[in-house]
Amino acid sequence: MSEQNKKVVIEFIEAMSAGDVARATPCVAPNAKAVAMGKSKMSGERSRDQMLGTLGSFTQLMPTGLNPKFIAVMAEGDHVVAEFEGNAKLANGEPYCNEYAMVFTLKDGKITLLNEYFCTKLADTLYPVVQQLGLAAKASVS
Amino acid sequence: MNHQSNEILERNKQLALKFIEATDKADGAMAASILHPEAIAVSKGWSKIRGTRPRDQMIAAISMFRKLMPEGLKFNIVSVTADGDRVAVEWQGKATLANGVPYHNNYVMVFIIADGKIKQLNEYFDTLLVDEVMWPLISGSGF
Repeated sequence: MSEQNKKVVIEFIEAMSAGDVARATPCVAPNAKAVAMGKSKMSGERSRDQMLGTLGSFTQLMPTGLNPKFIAVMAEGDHVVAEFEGNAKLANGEPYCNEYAMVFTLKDGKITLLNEYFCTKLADTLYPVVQQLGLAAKASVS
Repeated sequence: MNHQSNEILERNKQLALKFIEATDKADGAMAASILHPEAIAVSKGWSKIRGTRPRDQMIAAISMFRKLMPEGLKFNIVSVTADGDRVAVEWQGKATLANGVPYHNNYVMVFIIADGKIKQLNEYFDTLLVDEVMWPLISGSGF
């Protein structure tokens, strides 16, 4: 179960990196939500529709993807924790390399909750680019 | 998963939780007893407290922790995930700083265990909150 949950989480993160909603959708339970922790302008709770909606516009923000480099993926019971570094370039050409710990809760092989931890200080540098592109304030990955 | 590896995972979890407890209590000796000789802590992100701390600095920081948060972290464990030699602990702090300002951060700490001790700790938290609320107190009082 834990190994299968890891596969779902890696698939979701890779789909997010590619902005591929069709690939991400089967990973996410109908009642899923995501919570970006902290007090950045990107922080707060997103419903399943918002998760997938922002994921779909993700490559507008980072045209060549997030390019996650996994440090570790840990699983036990219903939880999977992915520790990774992003290696993105923003639409304005600036590098954006945040550090992430994402805690997923899964049920029946689908993600029901995603708690996102990242450098909120760096995430706020995204905000002007998000606004300029007219994207939702709460990007799927900050 | 066999019985022995379950026991190791459980032991690893207890080490991780004991480290958080030692921090909360500002008990440097307790922390020292579970830290590997080559232990390091890595504060992720770009806050003013970012970077790598060697074992001695980890213990020194823990020992003076109650000067920063006199009533402790007031922590609440959200989840604990143990896998192989790693333990990820997700937790919330509801601390009050020495200057009376609330300091409620959310954390993921990823512990790497070797030889029955904590060898590395990767810390993820709200860096904006650290810089805005905690850093003025740290920088102004010689922590």
